[in-house]
This record gives sequence, structure tokens and C-alpha cells, in this order.
Amino acid sequence: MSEPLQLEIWSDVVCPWCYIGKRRVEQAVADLDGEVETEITYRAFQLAPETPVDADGSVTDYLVEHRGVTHPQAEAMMQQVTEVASSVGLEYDMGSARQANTLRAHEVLHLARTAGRQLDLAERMFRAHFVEGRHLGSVAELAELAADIGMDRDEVTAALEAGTFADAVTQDIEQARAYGITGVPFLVVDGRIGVSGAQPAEVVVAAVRQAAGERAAAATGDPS
Amino acid sequence: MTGLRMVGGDDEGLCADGFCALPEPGARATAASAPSGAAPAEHPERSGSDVAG
Repeated sequence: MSEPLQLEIWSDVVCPWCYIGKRRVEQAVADLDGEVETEITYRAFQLAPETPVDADGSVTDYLVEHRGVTHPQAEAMMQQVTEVASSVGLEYDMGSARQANTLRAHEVLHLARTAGRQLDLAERMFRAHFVEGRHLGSVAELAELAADIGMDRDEVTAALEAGTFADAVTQDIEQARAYGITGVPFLVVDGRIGVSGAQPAEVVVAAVRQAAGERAAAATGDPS
Repeated sequence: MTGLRMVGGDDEGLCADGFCALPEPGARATAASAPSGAAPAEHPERSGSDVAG
């Protein structure tokens, strides 16, 4: 196959299931063991676009105030997702997670993509939010997290101030709307096959194999 | 889904909580809540089985 199969993942960096989904996609790629060459791209999605830029509350408060759940329900949700995260090796500290408007984080992820560092930065951001209680709406925090993986802190700050990648983020969100995506993580394989939610690795493997097969058939003119 | 064939069914049971789907209509982005230089997100209303939460 000449071009890698594209795995586009619509995701939000404050979405606990997206970090779990990231692990499962990574497991799927490992399970494929080079059978299909793939390229992963993170696409922007905002689960809480109404969150103010300067928001700094807890996830519990957000769920109660914006999702209409009670405090006990919010606590139960966090407990459940923490247990699932643990099953894939992630040690969430949901009590320390801070609600944030993630538009800026998505802009930095686009900047990282241009440097071939997007997956590393996505990992760093997820860990910062779900394990370390860092604030992903803060320019200073985002610059520091990017610097943690070797990106230039000043370049990050300048890109955010200039809004260099704002249009790219908007395009991702508009593409999600065009697909009809309303929940994340959402994986699109080769622009044709959708996988909704943090599905098990075997589901992702099946989707990748199906897409690869279809691409091979198209290349040989076999419509089957 | 528009233009996509779904594999693995929907995500019911995988993220059937309030974490991973858009808020109900009425809690959408406003220009005042978004950083400068970035357009507020606009999203479709929730519908169908492909909606989590």
C-alpha cells in the first residue's frame, strides 16, 4: 500500500473516554503488527464549547451545573470511568481534573501535527488533565506541556496569540458536524468507515482491515 | 452518520454517560465564551442511536 491508511480520531482532551479510546487504538495498531500501515491524526471536537475561557471548576461541578446530574450521579460516573481507565493502565484522578475550554488546546495539537508531534502532545495533554490536574485552558500551561515534549514554548504562545490554527480547529468541528458526530471519541478510517466510542481494539482492527481490503479491491478494479 | 459506514455498532454502554456527548441544546457555545480568533463551535442536536450519554 503506497499511502498509509488514515485513522482520524475526533476527540476532546477533557473527554475521559477519549484517553481510554487512545489506548485501545494504540492496542489495535500494535495487534495489526504492521499488517496495515496506518497514520493517526487527532481532530478537534469540543464536548463543552459553552465552557468559559477562564473556567476553572471541577468536573463534578460541570456535570451538575451543565449536564443535569446530581452530585452522587456525577461521582458515580467518575468512579465508573476511572475503573474502565484502570483496565487499560490509566490511573485517573478525576477529583483533581479541572474543567476547561479546549479550543486553545486543539490549536496547539494542530501546531504539534505540523511538527510530527501530535500523538505525543495528545498523550501529554490527556495525562496532564486526567492524572495531574493541570488546566488545559491556560496558555501558560499549554506552552509548558508542549515544551515537555520538546516543542518550542514561544512558538506555541505566538501561534495561540495569532490564532494560527483557529481555522483548522473550526474545520475539524465542521467536518464532525458534517459526519453527524455528536459524541467522542469517534474514529474515521480512510474517510469511509466510522467507529463510535472507545470501542475494543478488535473492533478497530476489524475496521482497519475492512478499509484496507476495500482500498486494495479498488486499486485492482475488483468491486467486491 | 453521513458518508460513513459504521463498524462496531454505536457506543451504547461504552460511554453512555454525560462525559462524551454534546450537551443538550441550549448549552451551546457563545461568542463570548470562545477565545479570540476562534469561531464558536456549532454542533448538531443530539439524535439517533449514535448519540452517547
